[in-house]
Amino acid sequence: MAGEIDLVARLPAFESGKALRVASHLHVSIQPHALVVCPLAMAGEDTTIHTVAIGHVGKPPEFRSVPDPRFREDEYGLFTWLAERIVAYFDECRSRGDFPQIWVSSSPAAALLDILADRLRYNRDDLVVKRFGELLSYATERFPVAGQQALMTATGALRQHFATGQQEAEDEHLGTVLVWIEPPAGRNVLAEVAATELIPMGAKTDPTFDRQALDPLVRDYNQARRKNADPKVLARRAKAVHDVLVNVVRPVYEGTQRAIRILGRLNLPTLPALAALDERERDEFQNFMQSRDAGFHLPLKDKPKPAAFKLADREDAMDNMESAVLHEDRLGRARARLAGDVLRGTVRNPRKVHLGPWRFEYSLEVVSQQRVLRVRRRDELSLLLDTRLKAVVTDIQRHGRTTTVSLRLSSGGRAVGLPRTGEVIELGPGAPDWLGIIRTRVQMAERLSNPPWTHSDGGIPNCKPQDGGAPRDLLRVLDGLR
Amino acid sequence: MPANLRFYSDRLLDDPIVLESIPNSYRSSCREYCALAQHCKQAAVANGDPVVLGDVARETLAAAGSISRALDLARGTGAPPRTPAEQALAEQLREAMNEYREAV
Repeated sequence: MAGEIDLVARLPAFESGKALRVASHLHVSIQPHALVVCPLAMAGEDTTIHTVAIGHVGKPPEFRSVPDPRFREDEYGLFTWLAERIVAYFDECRSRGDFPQIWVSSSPAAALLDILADRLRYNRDDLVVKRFGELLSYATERFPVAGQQALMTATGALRQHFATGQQEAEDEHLGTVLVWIEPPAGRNVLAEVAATELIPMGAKTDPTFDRQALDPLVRDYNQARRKNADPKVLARRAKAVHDVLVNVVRPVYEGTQRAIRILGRLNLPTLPALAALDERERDEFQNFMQSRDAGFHLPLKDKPKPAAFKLADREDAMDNMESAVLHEDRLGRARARLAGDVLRGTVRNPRKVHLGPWRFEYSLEVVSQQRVLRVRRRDELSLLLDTRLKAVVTDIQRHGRTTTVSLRLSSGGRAVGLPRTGEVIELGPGAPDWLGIIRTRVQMAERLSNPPWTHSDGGIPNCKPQDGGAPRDLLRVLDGLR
Repeated sequence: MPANLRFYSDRLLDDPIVLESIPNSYRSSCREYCALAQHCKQAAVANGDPVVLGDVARETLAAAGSISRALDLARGTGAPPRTPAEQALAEQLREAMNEYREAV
């Protein structure tokens, strides 16, 4: 069963009406200068911003809205206003040698920024707006990468640290998550959650609000505009739209700020991997900006080769993040043990066999009572206590609840030493390899110097059997290609 | 068919009595398309149905039937496991609960 730890935390959270912590370390690096951006789109106009609240962490917001985002000049006025703030922030971060961090309320808000970045970065008429789209692309392109610190969603960050008493999908509503984490005293949490659910916390306004409050005001403004009304009348009607929208976006902004405060107040030690993640973010940002300075355009669609590199980057980031959480967060380790990704057991029959001068073979057995184990022959596992010791699984025997895993040490026999009989050890994936991606990129550059036939115009190549027939050990040959 | 299910030939669906009498099977996806999702969710909450914690919880805790029973099994309180499925679930939950307590 996936997520047993989260499930057993959700059960008492539901019973007690209060979210429980599910992390021993802080998984996000909150930048003191981070920018909170809360955009709201008009219903049916997904590539617009009707209103936006923007401000730095711990600071009051600035609001800006347009009476009707379907008027291009007004909408571009808002984009220009937003661009001034984003460009200034990015430049400031760059001059400090730091990276920018943008916080939004939830995934729909991040998706809205992604759509906007995609739409605006190819703009030919307005260079300021184009620049805004390009800079926004940095954050939105980083968003799918595991462990990125450029575009944070408040709900995502809270979910990494808390289990609520509701469904995981419902945790995407920032308001309800905040109610679970800090339930109002003396009130029923479920009733409070039901009431909070009605308050928009994403990137759209409520349809009833649209029908009853917003639409009549927008219509009034449009009528006045069509009749070439007095600028004072137009301004008054625009302000009426602005005022109702501010009432909607303000709670989203305040909720996002509150989420950041809650995370800061947790006083948890930061995940050691965050230092490496921050460093990577700085590098990525500097590379991105240098690339813009050099005049390289962001492609509309990736060609096969850059796409393969991006996929490799994402896979590497995901592996490293999973590994970092497993090694550095106690709850992450517990999850991995329950899922069977970490082998925990008692050492039996440690052996050191002399093979020749300065050559020894180290082997041992680990007897485990784990209900679930995901271990196969040929898997290489690392000792979690000291990852220099690595061992290859040579055999697995299961009798009832007891599993005996035979291992041969592949490294660390002398440096770490063979574990002793009766010692309880944990073996699992290796420590995060932050520089591994460099090796992968070099290897991929060699391999992809000639595009494969699947991505070239040459058609299917003629296949001819290899001289000498099939290799004796096919698995070894495949391993050699990795 | 549930024993307490009644048919009303003279009432409409918007009558609260009729609505209450309809058995429901709330799922997390219901809220995406059904106007009655909130009503069914409230019924699930009132019954302590594990589905309120998500579909994975619903499947995993099916042997227990309710959140309070699942908590009893996890803590080793209340009545002892009544079926082999409950016994297996109790072991699974206790193991996870111990891991959680140690780690947190």
